[in-house]
Amino acid sequence: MANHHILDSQGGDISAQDNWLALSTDTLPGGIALSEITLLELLHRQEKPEVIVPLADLLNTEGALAGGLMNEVYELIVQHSSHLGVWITADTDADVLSKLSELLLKQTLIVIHVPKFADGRGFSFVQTLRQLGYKKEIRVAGEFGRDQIAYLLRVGVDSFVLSEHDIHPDSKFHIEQAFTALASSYGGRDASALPMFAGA
Amino acid sequence: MYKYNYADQTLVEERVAQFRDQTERFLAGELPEDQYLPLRLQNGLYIQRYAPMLRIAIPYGLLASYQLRKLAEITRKYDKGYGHFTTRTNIQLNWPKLEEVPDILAELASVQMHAIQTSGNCIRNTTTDPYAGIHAEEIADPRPYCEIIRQWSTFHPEFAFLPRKFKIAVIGTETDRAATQVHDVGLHVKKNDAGELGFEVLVGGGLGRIPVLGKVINDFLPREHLLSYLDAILRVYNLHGRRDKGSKYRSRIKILVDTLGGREFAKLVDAEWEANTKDGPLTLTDDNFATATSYFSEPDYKTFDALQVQSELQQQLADDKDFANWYQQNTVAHKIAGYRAVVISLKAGLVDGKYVPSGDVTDSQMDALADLADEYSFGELRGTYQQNLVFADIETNKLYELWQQLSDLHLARPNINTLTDMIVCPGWDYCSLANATTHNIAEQIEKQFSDLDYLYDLGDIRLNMSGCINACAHHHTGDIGILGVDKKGENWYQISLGGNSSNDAKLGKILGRSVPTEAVADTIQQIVDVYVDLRATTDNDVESFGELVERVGIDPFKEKVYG
Repeated sequence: MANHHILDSQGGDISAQDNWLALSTDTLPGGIALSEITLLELLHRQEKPEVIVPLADLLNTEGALAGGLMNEVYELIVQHSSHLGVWITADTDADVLSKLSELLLKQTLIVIHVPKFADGRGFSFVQTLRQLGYKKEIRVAGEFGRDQIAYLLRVGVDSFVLSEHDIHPDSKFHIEQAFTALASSYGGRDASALPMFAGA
Repeated sequence: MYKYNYADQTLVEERVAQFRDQTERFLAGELPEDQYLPLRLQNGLYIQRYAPMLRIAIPYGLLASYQLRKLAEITRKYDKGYGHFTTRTNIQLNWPKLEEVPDILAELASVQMHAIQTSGNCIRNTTTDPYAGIHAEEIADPRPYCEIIRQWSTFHPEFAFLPRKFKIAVIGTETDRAATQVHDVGLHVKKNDAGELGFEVLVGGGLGRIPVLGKVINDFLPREHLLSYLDAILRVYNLHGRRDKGSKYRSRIKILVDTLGGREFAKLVDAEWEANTKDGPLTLTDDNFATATSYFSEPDYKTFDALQVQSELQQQLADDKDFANWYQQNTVAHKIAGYRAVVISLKAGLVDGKYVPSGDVTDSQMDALADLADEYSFGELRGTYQQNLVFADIETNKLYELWQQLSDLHLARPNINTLTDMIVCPGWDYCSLANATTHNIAEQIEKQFSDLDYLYDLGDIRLNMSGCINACAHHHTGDIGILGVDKKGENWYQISLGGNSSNDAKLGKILGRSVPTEAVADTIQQIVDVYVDLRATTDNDVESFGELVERVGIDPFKEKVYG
């Protein structure tokens, strides 16, 4: 796996404190978590780690929870994990998310995978998840860019998986700047926050 | 006019800093091209055939004199001394240097201007009626709603990376002068039986490769729900619009609405809206509307002795035929007695034998227009969908002296709504998307149709010409549409007839096979001849070109051109 870092909403590097492991599957893209774990390793491990599983593999072709690839082993994964998260692809049907609120609300972490910089569906997924009442951590991974971080923060993302390449650690353009860009812009969710109504 | 407060100003300045940072990182090789591209587009910056092109926003077409002066200065300092007004009431610079664009944006910010979201797959500049606030038949001034939409959509974090661009137009009169039916969202201000204000909401109009007219998805949306309802439309589109590879031309909301059908799409929007955002924090209050409206209060109009105004005007009209022509073609009724609106023709045609492209204005013209705006029209100008400018509030008795000054500037050509009031995109001469040139064809047409009395006899004819299928000049909605196509390295032109962008909007029908460059003006002449032959004339009415095509179809024209 490429060298990835996890940054919190302030731009601080929390990689050292992050223990999430992505469950290895055929479709696992790079950078969902800092490390992977196979099902077999998980079942044989003494301590219970924090595990991220693919939402798609829990669902059948109709997007319902029954009959998914991993459904049979999900109970085992639950038993062998301390905390659970899911990662979702940009192709996930938003209506499916709405039907799965019970499962989603139980997750400690939801990772949204962005397949392409210009693909903005993830922005609306965050909104959809928050509308469902999900209050815990939402993380973004994949091919988003640092210039989207300010927007992602405003729609409600809590943390970011960035590759070494995105961070440019030696650059004079510090990654922290991405977290404070357009500092005065609003979240798009509240009419009273528009400049002319905010009375600024 | 809306004046930025501290918050707006800070935002625009933060944007300049952000774009400067992005451009420096791009030039330093730290920002990949595939990421810089959508970012620069959201700052209005294209890479064109010879140079970058910067599209500067003029929100709903409203421009203050000091802003126009700044634009003049920028074109002198950073460009080649002219700008190009577009159908979406923005202005484009054709020759800026990439590394200087952050400086240009900083200069713009000093007069509350920017290039934010003038391109890219985001919510673009909202457009409206150039006669907003001055038209007697207006239900309500659309500009406060435009400004609310501007503020809501600026840097909206959720809707900055949509499947494709998204354009909103708002009108406050029955008559549609903003082509709302070919916008992604068209909003028509309405009043219900209880006297409450709201909007008829159209979704899914657009031209380009697959032209479609918008569909009404809500007959009356009470105005307090404006933002929450738009929010629902945008979320449905962002989640369901096509993004698959190679489907760029199928990514606009028009395709989604067409595929689902207007009713099904409306259901999705309603479901999202009712479940999540209706009556939430995006709901606007009467106080909000009062605040927004206060920025567009009436200027200090004078009262005139109507009789005296009229007698003076009639005398001037009788004494000077040129002035009378201009008055007839280029001025528009105003709701306040003693005032008229003036359309400044940016279709000068041939000046000293040289063709001036539609919508182009030089830096010295801009400076002069800014001065005239200060002297005659409360310091404001407006852009129009037809690539002209408007002085909205001219005292009737000042028209004559204003006309003289505009004439000296080559800005008083009395051709508004005639065949030579053409909407023309820059075409192959500038644009890297174009397949064919447009300026040479427009010049040909100018030469063919130079006689003013003949043009007046032909009446209103809208001619729109695009240099490619992307249809920036809306050729589908012209009475006569011309589309440039490339055939084995040669430019050919496809002609369509019967389009309309106003209330009875329709898409033109293609006449037949395209014609070669040298035959375009002659073909237009043949088309116009058919019109003159066949039009019905009564004592007090002459059938217009559009009415005739509607009545007889395109066959008689076909026969003449290809027969």
